[in-house]
This record gives sequence, structure tokens and C-alpha cells, in this order.
Amino acid sequence: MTTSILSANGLSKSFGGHAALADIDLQVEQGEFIALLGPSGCGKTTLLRCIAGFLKPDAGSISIAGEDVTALAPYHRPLNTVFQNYALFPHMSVVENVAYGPRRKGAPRAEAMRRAEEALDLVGLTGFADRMPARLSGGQQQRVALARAIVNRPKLLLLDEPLSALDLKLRKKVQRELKQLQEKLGIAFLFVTHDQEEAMSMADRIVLMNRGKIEQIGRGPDIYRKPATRFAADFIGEANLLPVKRAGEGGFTLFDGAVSITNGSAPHAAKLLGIVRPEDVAIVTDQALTGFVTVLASVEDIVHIGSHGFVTLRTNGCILISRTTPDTISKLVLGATVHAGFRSTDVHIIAEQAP
Amino acid sequence: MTASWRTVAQLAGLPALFFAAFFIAPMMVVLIASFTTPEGAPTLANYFRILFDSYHWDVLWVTFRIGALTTIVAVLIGYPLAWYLVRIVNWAPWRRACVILLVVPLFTSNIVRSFGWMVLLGRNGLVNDTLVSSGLIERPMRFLGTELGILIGLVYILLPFIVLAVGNALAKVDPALEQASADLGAKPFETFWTVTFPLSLPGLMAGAIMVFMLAVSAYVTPALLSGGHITVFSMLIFQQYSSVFDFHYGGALGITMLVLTLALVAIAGRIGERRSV
Repeated sequence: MTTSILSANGLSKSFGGHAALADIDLQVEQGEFIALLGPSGCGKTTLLRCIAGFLKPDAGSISIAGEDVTALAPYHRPLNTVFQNYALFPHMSVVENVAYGPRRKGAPRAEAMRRAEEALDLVGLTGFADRMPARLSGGQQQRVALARAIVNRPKLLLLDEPLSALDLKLRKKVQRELKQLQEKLGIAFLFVTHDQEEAMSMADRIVLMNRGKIEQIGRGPDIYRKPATRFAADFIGEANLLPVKRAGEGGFTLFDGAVSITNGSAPHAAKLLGIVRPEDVAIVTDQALTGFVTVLASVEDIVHIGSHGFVTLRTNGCILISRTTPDTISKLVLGATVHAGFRSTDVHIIAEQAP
Repeated sequence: MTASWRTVAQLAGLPALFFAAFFIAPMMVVLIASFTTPEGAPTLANYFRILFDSYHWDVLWVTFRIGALTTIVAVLIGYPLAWYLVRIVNWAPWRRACVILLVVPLFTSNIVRSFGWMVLLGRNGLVNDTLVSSGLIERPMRFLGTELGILIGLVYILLPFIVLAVGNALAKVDPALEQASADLGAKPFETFWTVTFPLSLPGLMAGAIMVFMLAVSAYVTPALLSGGHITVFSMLIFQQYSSVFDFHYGGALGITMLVLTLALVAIAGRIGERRSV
């Protein structure tokens, strides 16, 4: 039996009657890169702080590498954290910041300094050892925070929106570097973010959270193709959410019966919701496409953003958005009637929960 | 261009005038008096009189010793008190009550408060009564007319400065820094010693310097609590101005005190600066 690096069981935490975490179960395996994704206030940071030991959960337990740490103080937990605003010690130089961890763990000064220099090399900050944190750029501070957190080689690294303070271009670059570093070190990363693109591009698995609960756990592409809930479909990428009615064994209708499809994986529920990604919706002006189910629709809005564009279509009271090429868009005019089509296999059907 | 110069002159002029009228002018009057004879001839005699008289050095030594002890005791009491108010009390009304208790005495006259201590510290005062009845001492202690009495009075009066300066510094320490320290394996005391305390040091230094300067220049409290047995430098200055009417000698005493105090504060500041880097 392999032990998970992190195992959280039944974690709950509420603040003044508001449930920030409700019965959270989460396992993180050796060397995994996990993104904790969700909108602000969904509980992802609360979960991280419970794992780090800065918050005490109301119920549930946390184990790290098989050891129950629920009652342990932060300084006894075998993990490290990269804080949102880096939390670098302003009165210490870069190398002193990084050597702080080894020093606290009892390493002699010379060895702590040597290990700190190594960690700084690893994050590409060779030669910055004697600078003060205030004299560094945001990106450099972020690297110091990272070096400080990995210098003790923890089993688990928690990262609390570490890139949110960086500008977009730098963030993309740091994302790649962070991913490479994680693979090189083999440390499990638990990475909090509200940016779904960041989560999709970096994480092995995404833990999608909403309102203190886990909505779905899975690989990014799996959540994208087969979202478990309306929230998951809406939060990760763009989605057309269409009411679906059951029509006989394995058969379903959309757009008030205008389109019929078959689907073997639909759940048994009273209310159903069909999810179609915009890039799966094709537009043709004059004829029906072969292999597609099509519906007549009128063009309501066109947004052109360079490499591609979004066309908003109205059909039988439903809105359908299509992501299409500039070429197709150039042939469209507002108000025109077109055929919109998609493969029936591109429709993912889920149960619509009561709101 | 001329308009902007006029604006600058107007904006900078008023504060400059204020400083000139209220700080520089009186200072100059004292400074000039200290370097002149009653007839108005320039002289260094006033300073020679101070520097070559061991009595003055004895009084200076007492003054700065009381000032230093006051600062040390105020820091030792004030730092934990500030910690308690900022870090331990989390019930806002109680914290507010504590701060008010701390600050309200500053609004009352120094004289009233010093008289209060005279009553408390007297032979049959509350302090002696308590100490004797609790069995800590057999006979009432003499506080009035001792350095201990002056020290108690000064610490009481100057404590709020330390508490407010340190409390302000502690409140500004980002909790994330202490969490980062704990995250890296530091136990609570290590976190205090390596992170929180160094970051509160500038506030502590500012408070300590303020207390020291106010303690060495204090007049009312030492005068009332000394009972005529102890002389501090500000009393010498007061005598010259109010009884002897020798403004030249008195001015020289004042300037000597000022220069020595500034020198000590500068040295302390330099030491503090080197520490914090």
C-alpha cells in the first residue's frame, strides 16, 4: 500500500456560522502537481492554511506522509509554504532569508549558507545573495520565496497564489519555470489559484472548489471535456449550457425538440443539462453539415479577437455561442439565418442540481 | 516660473517662519547668552565654570544615570505591555480601555501626578502600607528623596511613550512574516527573537530615545520627589534662571545639557542602526 503525501479527511471549518470548508477529502500523491482552483471565497486558501497549520479545522484530520499532523504546530509540519505576497523577512538579506529554514532545523551557519546558495542557483538567482529583499523586483522576490521554501526539501510545498502579483507576461514565464522545477525536485506541489488557465497549464490534477466544497477532482482536460457540475462547466473554459429533455431509451432532445441526439452516459435525473463547448459548434450559411446535428439560428452578435472569434446565435429561445475562424466570421452578417451544428458526441449531459 | 517660485516660497515660508519663531529664535537667545558676559562681551567663562567644576559632573552623572535607568525600566515594562495590548488582547473594548488608561494621565498635569506619587510613596503612603502589611518589608521604606522615588515617578510618567511607540511598531509587523518563520521551523520564541523583535526595534529605539530625553530634562517630577535631597541638572538650570537670574550661566548649563543629550542619542542611534542591518 502506498501512502499519500497528503491526506485530508473530512475537513470542516467555519467562521462565524459561515462554512468555509465543508467535509473536504483530498489525497495528494508523491511528486504530484495539484492546483486548488476556485473563485475567491471558495475556501481554497482556508484549506491551504489548515494544511499548513495556521488554522485549526473544526473537524477532520490531516496526514502528511502517513503521519497525523492535525494537532501539530506549523513549525513541526514537514511542509513549506510560498506565501501570496512572499513574506520575505525585510531585515535579512536574500541569502539569510533562504538560510533561515536550514538554520532553524539546526544546520551550522556555513552549511545553511551553502545550501541557501544552492537553492538560489536552482531558482536562477545566482549572485543576488547579499541583496536586501526590498531591492528586488517582484519576480525576483517570488524566486527568493520559492528558494526559501524548497531549501529544506519538504515533502509537500504549498503555494498560495504565488504568481498573482506578477504581470501577465512574466507570469507565463514563471509558470513554465515553476513546472520544470517541480518535475526536477519531485516535490508534491499544492498550488492555490483562481486562474483556470494557470491551473490547466501547470497541474497534473485540478481540485475545483466552490462554496467550501470540492466540485470535481481530475486532470484538466478531463474536467474540461466531462465537467461534473454546471459550476465546473462554467468555471473551466466557455460553455453552452442547454436544457435537455429525455426522449425514449438513450434518446434526448435539445432546443425544445428541434434537435434529437443519442447519449449513453447521461445520468438518471429529473432535470438534465447539456454542455457543448463553443469550439464544437460549427456555422454554415446555406447547407446542413454531414455527421452533425444542426439547427436553424439567427446571428445576434459577433466578437472578433484576432486569431479567432465568438458568434452568438439565437435558436428557439436558447443562446448558442460558437468559436470560429476569422474566415467564417467574415461571411456572416448580423441577423442572418444560419445552420449551427455539432456532433451529438460533443454534447456532455449532466444532472442539473437544484439551485 | 516666477509663479511657481512664489508658490514654493509661500508653501515653505510659513513652516519656516514657524520654526524660526518658536524653535530657532529662543535657542539662539540661549546660545548667545551662554557665550557672553552680562556686559555683552563674548566669553567662554560660563562653560569653563561648568566643565572644570566636579559638582556639575556629579549632577550630570546623577541626571544621566536616572535617565538611563528610567529608559531601561520603561522598556522592560513597556515592551511586554505593548505586546500584551497588540498581540494578546483581542477583545477590542478591553484594548481600547487599556489604551485610554495609558494615555489619559498624559492629559493631566505633571505636577498633579507627581504629587500623587508623593502621597503614594510617603512614609505612610499606600505603597509602604501594602509592602509592610504583606510582610515584604518590616519597616516603611524611604522613597521620597531617593533616586528610586524619582525613578518610579519618571517611569510612570514616561511609560506611555514606550508602549505607544512599540505597540505601533508591533502592529505594523506583517503576521505573514511570523507565519513564514513558523513555516520554516522556528518555534515561537525563535520567531520572536529573529523576526518580530528586530522588526519592532526601530519603534523601540524611537520610544527609548524619547523617554531618555524627557527623563534627563524632566524638572517637575524630580523636583517634587527628590525632597531636596537629590539635584538633577534641570534643577540647576531652573535655579540660575528663576533665583539667581544669571541667564548667561544658566544658558551655558542648558546648552551643555542639550549637547550631551544629543551626543548620547546619536551614539545610541548609531548602535541601533548597525544592529538592525
